[in-house]
Amino acid sequence: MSHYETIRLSHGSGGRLTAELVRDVFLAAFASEPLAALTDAAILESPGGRLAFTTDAHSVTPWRFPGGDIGRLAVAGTVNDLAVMGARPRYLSAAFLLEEGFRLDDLAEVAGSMRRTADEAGVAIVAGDTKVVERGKGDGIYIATAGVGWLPEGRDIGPHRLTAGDVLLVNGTLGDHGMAVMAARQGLDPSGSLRSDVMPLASLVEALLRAAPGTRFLRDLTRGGLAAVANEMVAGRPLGLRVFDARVPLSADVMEIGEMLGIDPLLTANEGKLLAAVPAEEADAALAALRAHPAGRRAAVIGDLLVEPAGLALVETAYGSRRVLEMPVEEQLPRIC
Amino acid sequence: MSDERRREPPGELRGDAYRDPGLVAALAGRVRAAASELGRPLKLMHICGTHEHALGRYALRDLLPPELSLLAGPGCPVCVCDSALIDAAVRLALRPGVVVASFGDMLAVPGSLPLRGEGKGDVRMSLESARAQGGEVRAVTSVFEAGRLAAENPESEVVFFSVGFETTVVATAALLRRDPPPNLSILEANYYTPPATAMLPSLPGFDVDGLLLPGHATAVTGTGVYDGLPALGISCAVAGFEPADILAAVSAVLRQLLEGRPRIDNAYPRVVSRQGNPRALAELAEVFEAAPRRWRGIADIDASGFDLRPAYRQRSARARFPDAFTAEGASAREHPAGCRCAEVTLGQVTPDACALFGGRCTPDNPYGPCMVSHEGTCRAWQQYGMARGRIAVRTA
Amino acid sequence: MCLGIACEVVQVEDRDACLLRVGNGVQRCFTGLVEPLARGDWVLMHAGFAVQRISPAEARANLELVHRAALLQEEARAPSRSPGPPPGADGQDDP
Repeated sequence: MSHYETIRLSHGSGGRLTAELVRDVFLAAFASEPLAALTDAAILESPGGRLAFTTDAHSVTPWRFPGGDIGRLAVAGTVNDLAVMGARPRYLSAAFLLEEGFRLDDLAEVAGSMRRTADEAGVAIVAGDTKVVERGKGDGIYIATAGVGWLPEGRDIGPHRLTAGDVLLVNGTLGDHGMAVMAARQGLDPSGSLRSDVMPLASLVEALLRAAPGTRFLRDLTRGGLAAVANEMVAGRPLGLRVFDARVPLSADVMEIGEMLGIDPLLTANEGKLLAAVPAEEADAALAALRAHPAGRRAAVIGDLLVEPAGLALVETAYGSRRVLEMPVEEQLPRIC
Repeated sequence: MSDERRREPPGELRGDAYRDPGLVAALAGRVRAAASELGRPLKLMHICGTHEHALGRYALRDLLPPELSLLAGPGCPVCVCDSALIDAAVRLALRPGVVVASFGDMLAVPGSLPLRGEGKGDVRMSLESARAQGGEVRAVTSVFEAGRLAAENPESEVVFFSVGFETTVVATAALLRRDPPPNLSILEANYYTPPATAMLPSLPGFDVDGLLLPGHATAVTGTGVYDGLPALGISCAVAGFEPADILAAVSAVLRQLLEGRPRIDNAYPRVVSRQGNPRALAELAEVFEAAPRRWRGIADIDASGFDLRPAYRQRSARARFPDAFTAEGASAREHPAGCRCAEVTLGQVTPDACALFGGRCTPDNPYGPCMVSHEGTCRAWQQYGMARGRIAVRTA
Repeated sequence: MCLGIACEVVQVEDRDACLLRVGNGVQRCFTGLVEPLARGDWVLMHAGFAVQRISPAEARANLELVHRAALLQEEARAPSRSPGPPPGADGQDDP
């Protein structure tokens, strides 16, 4: 058995080194039966009914950041895409694009992180692939995932159900992930108090849907933050969306670093937060269910859906004044002005 | 520090004391009362992009009486930055062995060098497009970070694109006085606002009653640099950046108008004084001297920029890499055809007066610097929807 | 033109550098352009450096000024520690 410290091109060529890599890193971490069979595809039991299917690609610099790493990000992100459809996530695949020179112990750390996150979410990683690109042609590690889950009968969650008068909730503080990654990249957080919120939300969603079965819409807040989702929700619809900025939960760190650098937490990425639209009569139950869950301790009602202005997302301040909540245009960079 | 629990600081030191809704409502009431007593249209102006952002973020114009307009004047150091300086930065970024370190504010702003092959028509190169072409560009949050970059990369030349107004240039001076790594040089692109502000009253149609002075720039320079304005009948108040700070300054200006006694009031004394920061000014004076600068699309203004003094000239990117700079007098294209950024910057028109605003020119497809730049007035207006006036809502 | 935040000094590293409390963490800040600082002092930080020290007295005066401008009489009263509003606290600067 060979012992390398870093990934070589031959680790991706399908021969002995690839087999060792799969066995020693991926099988060891993921330990799922379909994977261990080492066939070209996984054969899985299906409960029948509607299938939810999603795919995602992950690239983050640095690959390890306070609160998580690219592995956790990949699993949680895919799980959350399924969960916010109301589906119960079951199986994931993971394809790795590794740059020559990436450290094997780092890869093992990523795989371990994926396994832990998968266990948290109750999913199994059942298929995978590995390719290696030359040094300089990748960014260390990219991960592409796909995920499937099943929708229980009768669940109908989606933007077509949004209704004026619905109440909007989030499950906690916003902007944590984007701010932590940006700070890590810029070397701006010597005390490491900014942490990503990356987290699988499948069980949080189940708890919410049990308490508020009339929930109309769920979306995980990723790149572009709350602002992106808010705009997507109302674009081309006879609905407006209002956020009360005084009610949006923000950590002290995100708030002050955002002030320092001119970065708006409402436009900043999250990886463990969702936005829920529920009928007004179910808002209290929804909030209680979120707050009772570990991933929802700082959940809050933050806004509502309006009849007018149609197609617009807006912020109402503590002063009663109103401004537009823009669709984010590009990634926010730290500013001096 | 691990034993340090977060103590609550005294109320007056905390920003949120100046965001208190009750305080803001009371101040807005005073402003409305004063405006009513004056009984005529009132025109105020600020000269700070950060003030425009505060107005947008908190939608403070909603709280002002309709007869009081508060215009955005020249407050965006990015929007007025001579395109020739951006071109130099782009050339330097593309030069092997050179890394350009820049505040994030500047990265997307186009200069005048054509960008070939983009297929989008008349696109010009920015530091971002230079990076896409393989140029070395790093976003930094301070000049000191650029210094660290130079220390960590002794085999490269690091050029710090020193943009910003007088508030920011003092940090560049401070670093240069402290013997930074030899591979660090400075692309001198800082601007000095008071001469531009002094020019405003002479522009045709200028009828501004009062000015909000920039709270952080005056923290450095002191308020005395604006002494010429009350003499011209312009009431002035130094304003901080929280909602109550801004409304208190507006209130102070209106009080001056009621008394008929223009002067400079300081509504931000926790940070601003008449003499400013003498230490910062001394270090600035040692390293930099006043120089003329081209304000993009506006004018060449004397003593409105900062050049390195002879003793520090080897730190100048212009001295180290002269071939990266356009020859003196060579024309550098200003704003693209039809762009009204110059008039917007001078507060002569609001962004919605421009035919391109919100149509051909939007944040994701910007045409001129005022929309490209985050602190440009047009960007702020589009971002916060300020052209709409008060947004009415209808609930279910 | 100037994003800046008011922060407390939690550690003085040397004449030119301090650690400031930002949120629940710290940020390093260049402090060579203000007078020598001590732990517990407050400064305005912009673009990685301290622009000006915020004295507690001036901070108090500022809040009083703003409250007075709002005609909120309770808050406009000086705190019991000091004998009265500092001169110039009504915001008038002699031109």
